[in-house]
Amino acid sequence: MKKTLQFIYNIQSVAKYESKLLLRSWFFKIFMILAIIVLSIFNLSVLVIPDMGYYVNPWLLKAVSANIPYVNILLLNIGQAVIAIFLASDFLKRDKQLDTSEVFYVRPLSNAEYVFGKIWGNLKVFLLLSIVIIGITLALNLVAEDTSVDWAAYGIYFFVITIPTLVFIMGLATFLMLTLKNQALTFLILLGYIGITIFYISDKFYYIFDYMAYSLPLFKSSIVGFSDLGVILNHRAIYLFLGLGFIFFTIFLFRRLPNSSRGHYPWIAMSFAFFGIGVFSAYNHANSSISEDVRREGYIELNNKYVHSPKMVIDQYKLSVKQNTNSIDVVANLTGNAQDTTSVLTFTLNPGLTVDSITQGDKPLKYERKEQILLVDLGEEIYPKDTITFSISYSGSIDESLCYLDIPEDQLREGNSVFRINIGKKYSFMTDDYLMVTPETFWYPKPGTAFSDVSPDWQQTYFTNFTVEVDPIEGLTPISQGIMTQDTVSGKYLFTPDYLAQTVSLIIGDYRSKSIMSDSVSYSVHYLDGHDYFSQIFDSIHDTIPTLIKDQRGDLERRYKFKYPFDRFSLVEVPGQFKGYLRAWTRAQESVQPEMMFIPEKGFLGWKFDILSSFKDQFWYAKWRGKEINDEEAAIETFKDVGWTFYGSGGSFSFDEGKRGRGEIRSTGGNPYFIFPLLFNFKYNIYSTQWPIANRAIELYLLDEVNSSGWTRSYNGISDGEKASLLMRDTPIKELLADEDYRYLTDQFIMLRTSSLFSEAEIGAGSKAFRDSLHSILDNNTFKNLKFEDLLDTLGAIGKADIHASLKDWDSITPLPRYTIGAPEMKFIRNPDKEIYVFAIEVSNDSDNEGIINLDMYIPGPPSSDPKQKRKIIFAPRETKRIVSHWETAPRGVRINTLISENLPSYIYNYFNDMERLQNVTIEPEGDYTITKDSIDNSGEIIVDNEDSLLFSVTAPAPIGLLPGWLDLVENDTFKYHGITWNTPLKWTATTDVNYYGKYIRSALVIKGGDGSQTATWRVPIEEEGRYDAYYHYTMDRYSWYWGAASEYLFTIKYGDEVEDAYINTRRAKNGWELLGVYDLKPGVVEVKLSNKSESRSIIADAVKFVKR
Amino acid sequence: MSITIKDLNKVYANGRHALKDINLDIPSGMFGLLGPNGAGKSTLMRILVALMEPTSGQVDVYGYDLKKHRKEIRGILGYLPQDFRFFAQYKTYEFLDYAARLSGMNNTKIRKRAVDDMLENVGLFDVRERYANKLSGGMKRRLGIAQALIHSPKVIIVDEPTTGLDPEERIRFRNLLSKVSGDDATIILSTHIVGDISSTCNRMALLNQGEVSFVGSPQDMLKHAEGKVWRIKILGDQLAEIDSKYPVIATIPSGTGWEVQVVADEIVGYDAELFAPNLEHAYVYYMENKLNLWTND
Repeated sequence: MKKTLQFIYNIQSVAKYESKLLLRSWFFKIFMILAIIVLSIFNLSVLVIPDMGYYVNPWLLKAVSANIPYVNILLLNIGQAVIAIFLASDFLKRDKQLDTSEVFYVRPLSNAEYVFGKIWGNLKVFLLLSIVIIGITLALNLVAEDTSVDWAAYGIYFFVITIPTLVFIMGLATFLMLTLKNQALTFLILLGYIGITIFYISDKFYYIFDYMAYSLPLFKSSIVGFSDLGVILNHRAIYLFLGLGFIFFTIFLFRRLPNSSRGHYPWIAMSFAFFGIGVFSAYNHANSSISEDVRREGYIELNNKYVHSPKMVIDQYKLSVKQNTNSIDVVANLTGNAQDTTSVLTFTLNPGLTVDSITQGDKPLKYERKEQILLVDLGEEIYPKDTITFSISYSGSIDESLCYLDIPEDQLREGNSVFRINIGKKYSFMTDDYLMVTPETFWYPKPGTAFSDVSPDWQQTYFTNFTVEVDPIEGLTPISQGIMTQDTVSGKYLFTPDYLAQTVSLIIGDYRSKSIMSDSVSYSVHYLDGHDYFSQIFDSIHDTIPTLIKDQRGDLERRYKFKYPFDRFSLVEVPGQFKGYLRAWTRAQESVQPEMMFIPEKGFLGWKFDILSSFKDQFWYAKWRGKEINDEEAAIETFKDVGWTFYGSGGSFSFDEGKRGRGEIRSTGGNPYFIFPLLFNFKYNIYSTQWPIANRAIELYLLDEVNSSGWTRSYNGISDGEKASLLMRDTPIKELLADEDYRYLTDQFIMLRTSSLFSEAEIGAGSKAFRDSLHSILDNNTFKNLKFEDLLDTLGAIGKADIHASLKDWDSITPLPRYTIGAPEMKFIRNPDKEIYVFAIEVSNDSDNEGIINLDMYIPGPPSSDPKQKRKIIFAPRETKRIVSHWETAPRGVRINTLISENLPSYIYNYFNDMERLQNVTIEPEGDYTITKDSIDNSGEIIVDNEDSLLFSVTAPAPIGLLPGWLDLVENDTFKYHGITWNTPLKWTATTDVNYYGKYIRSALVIKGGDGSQTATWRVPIEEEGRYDAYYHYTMDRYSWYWGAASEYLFTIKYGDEVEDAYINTRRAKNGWELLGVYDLKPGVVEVKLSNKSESRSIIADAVKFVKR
Repeated sequence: MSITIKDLNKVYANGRHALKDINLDIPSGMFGLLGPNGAGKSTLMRILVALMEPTSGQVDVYGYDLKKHRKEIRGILGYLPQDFRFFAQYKTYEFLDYAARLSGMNNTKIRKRAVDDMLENVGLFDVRERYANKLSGGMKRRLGIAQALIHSPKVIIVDEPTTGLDPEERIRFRNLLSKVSGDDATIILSTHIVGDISSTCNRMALLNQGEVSFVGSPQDMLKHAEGKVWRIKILGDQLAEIDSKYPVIATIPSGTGWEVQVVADEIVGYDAELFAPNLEHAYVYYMENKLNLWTND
């Protein structure tokens, strides 16, 4: 006892004086002051002062108040981890340098006491700083409005983030310092380690290297708490114990004779014991993730095995659910009929749920369970259309590893974080007071299998009649699809939908709700007790809300061209960790279910859900617009803003800059609250055993969104649609759809193919009529299963084309046509009897493949129903057409989309700036005329384009160092053309643009203006002697307005023995052919060389033209 | 005997044999360890305070084996190293307090008083709030002795304590040590300054090239030199000649010539007279005649 006391006393003594040193060091003082100032400002701006913290959504912290300590402690922790490296390694260096340290070494304290004391002394100060920061945060948290204080979170985050990090980094730092005996090297290694964990590893390797808990999901939901505290504690144990291991090992490494000759041994033993625990925890952590991956693979394999085995179509589900703490008991009564002749039916049920019995009437049925697969043996053969009924009793909880088998592992493992709040991902919840199961969990037995990577058969769903009876834990309220009634005797709830649905979900919690009727639809908000932060604003406009909803609904229905089909619409508050994914075949994410949407707690992820701030901001916006509004008007605007959440499919864009001028943008995520699935996916069911993408195909066709906006195309150098076309030329669409790498192009594949599938029929019936027919067929099939092939037959009959037969083309690769598009002609003709605008263009299909183009005339004003304004035109192989049309009002331009073709860009627009005005001439009649190709060719012109591999060449820059060469090797060059950004490339880089010259491919090579060391050369063959005008196809740099284009292009023109210079003044030059000069030429080759010597931001090498006079 | 050293050897990793078969019995009281620079004094001291492990041999401190009972020995030890200049960012009194705490002075009240008394004793009380790094060289030394004495150790080991001190500081320092030696402690004073020992030690050892060449009292040492120290009066131009023949201790100008003090068994051919030697003379005589180490290069 006395020994122990002395042990502690000695540690405290060393620690006391070590702390003093730390507190006296400038380095630490500056860090401390900075940390306090920075985090105080952060908290003040986000929590206390309104309208300041716009670099982060304050609602993110206010709505889920545990995020306040989380973010603060996490940010401080990063700083501390860096500073601790410097300071922890410093004491060893200091001891060595100071000749006065030895007088302490000769004191009777043990090495262990000394080392512990030193480390504890350092640690203590850091912990103290943490506590100060936590105190400040807490104080500001207390005074902040619209939020609460999560007291427990303050403690938990401190213990889970700060302590293991500091123990680990200090242990590691002292350990490295003693083994490497070099402070600089120790810093370098540890800073590198920190850098790698933050910037590179982050969420990789199951967060196992994340010692700072920088990326580890530590979000604490106000509904269910942590996703899995066990996993978190295990993860932190890795670093706490490794840290202790290092510290104890340091005692052994410490350069001072121990008090007794065997004094080291217990510490080494303990050190190894701690290492052991740390490594075991790490193993535990990795293993649970790896075994989950293995399980997922196993599930997919099983699905592959059973994907074609006989299943039934279910007409009626009666689910009776009893909620227990952390589990459910379910009796599922299924009625349906078999699709095949069989005695064994295949179902999928979450493997966490154990089947207790299956009965048919009173007769127990045999069954076999293989993980998620449930094989029900009916004991006798049944035949298609035979109706069968049986009950399955099962119980247990949800194994989330069955969810999202179709989503690639790296995407599943990817962190889900917003402003350093690592939310993590959960697909279902079962705690003692909360439950959430969605269809993705397979919480009820579904016929067939889940995701299979060998056959799309698994995807097929059918409309079914669901009833769900729920017996929740006392005091909790269930939410599901359908009309809810409560049995007054048993207290059980019954949900009976008044429509057929593909899926059903169940949520149980301490829910409250508010409802409002508008146009005979009941709109509800289901929120957890204590989470009503919105009524105070919206109560004042209670009577106005139905109108607001009606307007917004009308707007959404008009915009997306479909009607909302349900009698109810609910927003259900769910835990923040709930996560869905964008799937390849549907726009519906798991957060949208029939008649409801799942909004993460208090809508903490969205600015618009910060009702109180949004309300206050309305006054500011109004003032800014020079208006004055009252509270009610502000509340109305706030309400409308929330509605914007449901618009738009788009997610965010991810930029990939820095590949030396080659950028890449991809859209990611998708809006999980997009209303569209409720208007389409849960309303219609177009099924096809061949083409499970049928639903999506119809959806995309009807939405008719123009592929890829201009700016992403110019950034990427090629649009997603063009990429899809080029890929489909070489690979059948089914293979492309199965290819993870091209998942982001899925919509493009489907859209392009569907558009061409329907084009003939669309031309036959007229575009509008055709689409209207499709709409009405769908509406007649609301909540009904509609077979894709049947739909195609009907549509084919309408459009007088055999669409169904064309569908078989989808099995093979897509031969691409390519078009030469002539210059559009626009004339205004004034004849005595008539004034008219005449448009004409010649387009030639230069390939042996049939093709279709879209030709849209751009006429300002409201959209017109004139069918010729938006046309599809079919081209036979090698066909050239002259397309002539007459207009009363002047079209401003023409847009041609060559759809599936080799043309780049596939979307070409021309604006009519100079219109020819004629009087008393014959008017060319309207129509599409097949003409001979020669008429398009411009004889007498010799053009050499950059696409000409024989006559055009560029220089390559000398590689600078090894790295750039290596980067070139690893660069993804699947597509030849790249985007040119404001950061122009240092070597000639191919890109495409509508303004460049090109027959099928309007391309050019771009390089940064430089010293003249790089050149592009056109070799122009001259056959006839004569006087020629030489032109260069000049295009203004897209960014030139920004950089100032006062410069010139410098050419050298070599013919015969002559060498002449030529210039283009970029300040005066216009897009198109610019005259270089006039030359008297003899037969031979003229060499036109363009140098990159220029002040211009970029030099564009495109095409040269020689025209004989 | 309070400290017994038997067959002690220290061979450094680079092969240097720093201590060779040292055998010493050190009684309580003040013990002087004399020797030129590089004789192995500091090595011996560092072994005695358990900062360094000997290659072989036995050291017994107040009945404790240095190999096995370092904790106990460290408990009764006070040490002032040779270099004592660079401090961590501590105030004078903090440095002392820290040292006291580590020596097991757990009681805050007692410790606080002891620290104040000690600061008073070494004359540093007025600068107790000053950072130790800001003290003058002499003050640092006094702080050094203060920390070595703060816990009233039985064994006090001071390595070259007076180096770099001005005479006044040196005297103060010696007196401070003497005061302590009255308390039945064993003080080992290692030095190459003979005066430090002559004025304070009752026993001493002479260490040279890692070996003990003399053990005894300073008086014994003096006896060896009696009748060997001469005063020679010479003319100016004879100085070089004398210098080459005899070990010269001192050269004092006198009138037209010099009075030169030398150590020798006999002087022939000069006007020389014997005089009573001091310890310094004895040291030089010893180094010259017993060990034949003297050179005038």
